[in-house]
Amino acid sequence: MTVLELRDVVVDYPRRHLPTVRAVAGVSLTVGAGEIVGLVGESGCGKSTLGRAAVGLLAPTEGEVWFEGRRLAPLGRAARPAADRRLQMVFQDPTSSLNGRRRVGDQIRDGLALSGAEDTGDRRVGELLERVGLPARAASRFPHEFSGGQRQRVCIARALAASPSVIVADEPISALDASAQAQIANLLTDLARDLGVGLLFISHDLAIVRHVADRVAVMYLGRVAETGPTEDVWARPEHPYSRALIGAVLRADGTGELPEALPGDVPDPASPPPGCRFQTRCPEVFDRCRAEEPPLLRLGSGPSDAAEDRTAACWLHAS
Amino acid sequence: MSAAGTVDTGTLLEVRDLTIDLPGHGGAIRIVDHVDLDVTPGRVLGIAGESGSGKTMTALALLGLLPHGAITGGSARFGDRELLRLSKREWRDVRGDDIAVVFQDPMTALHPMLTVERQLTEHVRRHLGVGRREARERAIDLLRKVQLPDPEGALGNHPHQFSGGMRQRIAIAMALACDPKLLIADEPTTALDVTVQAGILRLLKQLCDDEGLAVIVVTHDLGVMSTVSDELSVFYAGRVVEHGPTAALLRDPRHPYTRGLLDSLPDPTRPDEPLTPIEGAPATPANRPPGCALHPRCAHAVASCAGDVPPLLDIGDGRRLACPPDPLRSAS
Repeated sequence: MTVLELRDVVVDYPRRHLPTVRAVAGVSLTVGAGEIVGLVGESGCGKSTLGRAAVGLLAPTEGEVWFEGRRLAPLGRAARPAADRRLQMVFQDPTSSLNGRRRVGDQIRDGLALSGAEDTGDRRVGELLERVGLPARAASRFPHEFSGGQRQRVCIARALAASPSVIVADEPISALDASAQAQIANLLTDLARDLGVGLLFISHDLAIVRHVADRVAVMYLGRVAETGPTEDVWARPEHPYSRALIGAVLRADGTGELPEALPGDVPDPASPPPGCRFQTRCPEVFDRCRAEEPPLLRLGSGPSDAAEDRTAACWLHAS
Repeated sequence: MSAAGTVDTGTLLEVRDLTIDLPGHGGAIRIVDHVDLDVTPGRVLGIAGESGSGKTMTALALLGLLPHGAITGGSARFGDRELLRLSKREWRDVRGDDIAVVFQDPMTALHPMLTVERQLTEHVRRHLGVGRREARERAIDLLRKVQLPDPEGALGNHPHQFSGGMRQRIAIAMALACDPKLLIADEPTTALDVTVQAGILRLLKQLCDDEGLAVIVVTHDLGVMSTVSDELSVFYAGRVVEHGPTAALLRDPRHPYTRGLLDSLPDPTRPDEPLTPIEGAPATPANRPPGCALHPRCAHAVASCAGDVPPLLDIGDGRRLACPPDPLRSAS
């Protein structure tokens, strides 16, 4: 069951005296209940902008965001409708997400009160802390008394206070140490499985996304390059960019193998190249790529369920 | 010590019993505790650890950039110089000249308002005392060495006109300006995109091989270490807990902490298994458990682990280990 749906979302950043940056250039995406969708891409690909548009922090220039069957109104001056509070976000840096001068229990209680929960007592706060693997007595402490990983747990507890049906997590583990990364990734996975919370997991780290996500969407320069069940995309990447991204993952196996770097750099999103956005760096580029932008093409093979969602925006797959 | 068959040209930097104390609320806090390191020309030494492990403080000590109030002990012999005793004035001749540095974010090294030419030549002229034209030639050579496309054209541009990967190349060019003997790279690829990262690592390795540069790479990323470093020292809570040739150490880690770090990484061969993190939070310098700092988090801990601090002992094949029970020793 789809809980969060993005339909052809476009987000522009207008700039004075300079051409507008189209950070997201038409992206459609769905997140189901209890489903973990990985959104992968490098810096500047628009994944964070898309994440912000998905929770209404940014108003899409074009397109729509639907949440629990209603159209989501972007955040304005007025208070957000209570029903929309079931759409929560977790940010990259837990330190700047928390108020350093307030006890974490009080900050979690805010989450409960704002979502209209009847029970905002200490017991409920303690339950939420324990749900994210912290002791209930942590409520009386301040953010600086915790490690980075523990602070991110507090942020997740605060998001859970609103009984969310979807959490958008924007690079939730990349500011953390390696051992904390694994802890938080496992925690988010458990929450999706146990509580049926849908999760949009935004990350640049394909290796982690592979462990966490059921489905994955690979973004490049404001567009989705490829989508599919995570395992399928990893095993058979159909877009040359996904292939490069998977190939670039460094392995700590002691073999010392250094993958080939992609030539060149990500082009300026303010003036994307004509045709396919990846054509300037693509090892398999041909004439059509330079002239026409490929739409997301459905890849029709494989088992029926998986094939439903298997798409790639690449002319190599035009029949 | 030279494991991969390169000619051992002797140690360039020999660090012994390096300790660093920083003033804290309740007295001095030990950030780095009796660390030994050996750096050899033409080789990359990796310093791996999580935040608070003391890896960056160690690097800063070797650059004379420790924060005010830091007290150091031990020694760091660099040729005939003792780095820990250099005055501020003496450091000005060593830093940027014999010992250069590349930071995580190239914009911390580059001035946003100055052209690449100005930044590269200023540095060259200050340290080498050459004229403007010669400095410009040198700048072009440097940009060529770091494989920046169109070096001549790049000189007139400002840092913001380059991508992150290209900026890091320019920062490396700046670091190389005075033919340093030692390059310290602190998380050199952490801020870069994955598809660009390999290029920077290849460049560092090339500089090491071709120019005989000694490199210290500081990073938390064992994937980076696996591809770039020859030897690896794993830091935990201010101490080296394991050291050895990178390939052997990563294939057969002997310290439970190294094992735990590797296990917490996604395993490409077992994507369906949950990740296995090290339980608990890393020890912080201000709150270091007695004995082996890992023992509260270690599944293999025995009673003696909470007693004395385990020494870093030679275990053969150029490897050293600070774990007397050695629970991960292979059966062979």
